[in-house]
Amino acid sequence: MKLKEYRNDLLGESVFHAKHSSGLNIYIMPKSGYSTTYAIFATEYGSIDTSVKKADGTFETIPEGTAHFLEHKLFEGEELDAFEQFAKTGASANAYTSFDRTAYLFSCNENFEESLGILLDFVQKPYFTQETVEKEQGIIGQEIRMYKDLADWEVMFNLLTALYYEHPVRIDIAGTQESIAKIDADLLYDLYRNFYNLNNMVLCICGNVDCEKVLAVADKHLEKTGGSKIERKFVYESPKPVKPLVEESLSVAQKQFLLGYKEDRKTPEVSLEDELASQIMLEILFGKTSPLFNDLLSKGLVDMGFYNEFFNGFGYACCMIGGTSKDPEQTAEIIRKAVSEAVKTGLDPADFERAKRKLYGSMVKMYNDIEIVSNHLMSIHFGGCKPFAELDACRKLTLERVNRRLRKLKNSYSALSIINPLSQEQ
Amino acid sequence: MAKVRTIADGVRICTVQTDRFKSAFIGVSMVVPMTGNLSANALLIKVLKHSCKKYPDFVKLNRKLDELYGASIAAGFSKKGEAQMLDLEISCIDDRFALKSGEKITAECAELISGMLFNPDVKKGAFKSDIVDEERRFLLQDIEEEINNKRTYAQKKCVSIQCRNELFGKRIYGTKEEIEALTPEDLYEAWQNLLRTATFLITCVSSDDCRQVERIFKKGFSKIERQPAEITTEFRTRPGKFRRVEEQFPVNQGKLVLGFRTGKKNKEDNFAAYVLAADIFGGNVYSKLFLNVREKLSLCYYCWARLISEKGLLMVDCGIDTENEKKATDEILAQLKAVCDGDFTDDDIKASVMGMRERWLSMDNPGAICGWYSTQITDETLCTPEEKVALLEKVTKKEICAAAKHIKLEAAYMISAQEGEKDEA
Repeated sequence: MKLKEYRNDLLGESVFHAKHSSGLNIYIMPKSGYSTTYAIFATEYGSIDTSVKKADGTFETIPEGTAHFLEHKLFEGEELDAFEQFAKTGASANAYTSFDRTAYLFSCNENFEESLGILLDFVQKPYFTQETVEKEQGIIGQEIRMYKDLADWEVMFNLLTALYYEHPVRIDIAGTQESIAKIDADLLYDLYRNFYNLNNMVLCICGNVDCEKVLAVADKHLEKTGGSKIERKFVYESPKPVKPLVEESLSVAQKQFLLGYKEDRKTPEVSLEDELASQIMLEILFGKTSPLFNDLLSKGLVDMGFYNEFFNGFGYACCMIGGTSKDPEQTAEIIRKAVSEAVKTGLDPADFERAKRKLYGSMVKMYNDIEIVSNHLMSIHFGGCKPFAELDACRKLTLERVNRRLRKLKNSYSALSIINPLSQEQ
Repeated sequence: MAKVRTIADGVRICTVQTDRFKSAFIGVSMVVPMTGNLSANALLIKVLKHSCKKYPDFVKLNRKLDELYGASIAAGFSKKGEAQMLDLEISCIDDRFALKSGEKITAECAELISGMLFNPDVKKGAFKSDIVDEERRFLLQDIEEEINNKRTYAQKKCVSIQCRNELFGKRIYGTKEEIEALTPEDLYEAWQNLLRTATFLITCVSSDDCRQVERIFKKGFSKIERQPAEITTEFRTRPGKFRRVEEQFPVNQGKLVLGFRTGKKNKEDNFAAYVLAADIFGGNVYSKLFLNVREKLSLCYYCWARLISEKGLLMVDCGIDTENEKKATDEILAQLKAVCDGDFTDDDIKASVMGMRERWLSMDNPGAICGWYSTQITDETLCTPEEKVALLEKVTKKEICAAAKHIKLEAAYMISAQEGEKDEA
């Protein structure tokens, strides 16, 4: 198997890529001097996959929360479950489901090859019964209830329901108690066969690792599957929000808010350059050195927890600005005003340079962390880019591009989510 | 490898020179007895992080940080047994990755953080009142917002119930009333006191030899008359009378925390046997609590045990339906009994040693390395992860059971869901 090397001289690092004969894309970044290795094996199947493409080209709806449910169930095995197997190698294993992917991972200091074999095996060999699926409904039910009490989580999902009419990004990653009640073993096996084909997956490894050894384990443990990269359903939706304001009351001390600007997406994906440009734009407008933040701070409207995020994935993109505030409506009003002002004037070149420098610094720092790097390689692959593409994109960023992204922010496309404190009897 | 040197009375610097990383890290950790002015110290560390004489306001300081390729500063406080630990730290990209050659980012960051510690923006025996007031507002808000995360709120609450007659039962920031009453002069006094009496550990990971960093701090301490305060912690080897407290909140999920006394006489007492007993009981996904309370009985999504060696406590916490409190408590106690009775195999011990080894050896970033050493601030000698792992490898099953038998339930705290209010999930 041929390994292609991607070299970055500035960082002094290389990423090796191989397309395995089984169809799996493998990325490896050896880190000299490191003792730990991190491996992540992921499929492009997340909570936004609420429909499956059939042979006739039409899409069939499936219950919400299947990707996450399957993530839980893959750990089960016919004889030993995955955790029991990893207990023998000492690796620390976990998994997560996000909007657009399900990932299985481990990190270890020793017995890497054995652990990698376990990872590849357990993800490729589903084993569960109707009985254990029903038991999992109890555990996931508790997980859902746990998140329902977390204001950070609720403020975001409420915002997404206010912004999106149809896009499944508006639903909770784990689904709901009702939707998971509809999941049974047969459905999970069907979905497994569809989404877990190696052509739809990626393996990324970073740390104390040797490429040849990875490929040898891959040869031994990967079984060629049919199938191809799964096509997602893209439905254009109006940039107008469903409603401008959404509120919920929870047992919290202070009001929390999240203001979101929905982007008008004619195509499903935002380019890497635009993604970075949006991050820089948000940093300039709402970062710790921005006049807006310091104005809000002096008015006592926000605190150090004031944050912003460019949030995007297949078919959705929005800018989010949030925090704790005694008056979310007034805070949102000030932010909206600052946005329309900035759209008119454009951003300051000195601010742009400083924000770009900061972004560059954060990218360099990222390469310390084998967990972040592995996840990043996965994102870069799923996003259709090549390793280190972000450094190149950062270098090429221009103020003009950032201003272009800025002009996409329209107050009429925004919505505000507020969590109010629920009076509690103690 | 880590090099440790004493640069002043009660001030050590621990440095690790390596070119493995893209970034450098400098941490300043301080401990003072919890008998001191907890609220003043807690607010002080936030005020020190806010700005310094050279960069006297928040925007100027943060612009400087942005220019240093997004260097980041953090400050915090925590309990270290019955000592109050304060941390001030800075992380930046390593000089090798600067866009212009010759930029000395790490040295500038060292100057910056030492400036925050030794040269804050003070005048006539007081900090600036507007900065104090702003940071006070943030601190009070953080405290008020502890209730937002019911899990961590419940953990803290259980400790304060369990140790209600001990220093450890105090909140690490003192009380809201004390914070409200603090003056800019009080903070100045706390600052002087801290520089004089705290035990310091400065940690640094960088591609250079950290000599420059050492010089900067040495110079800072050279003007200070040091009188380090003694740090001690009271260990109660026998549990007090069991106490249970319940609070109702309008929540979806109940939170149960059980507080145990471990019988440890001091933090070193049977260190390794307790670590393994706690881990086999509930420290990982191979542990009894995960396998039984979660996997077998489906009672919860998480159920973990956490050992607090510095005070000889063990806490178990889980998120459950309110009506399952008894069921969960019974099962948690049954699993503790199983550890006492030796109901685990040599393979289970092996898995636990490997699991802990994994956790302690996975330190491939500068912050984690500094963190590993700074948590040992009250120890005479600093151990490497390998040295700590070696202690675990010698432990026998008999010793684990013996340690577990000393672990006794002392307190329970339950957040129960108010009926009918928040149950739409």
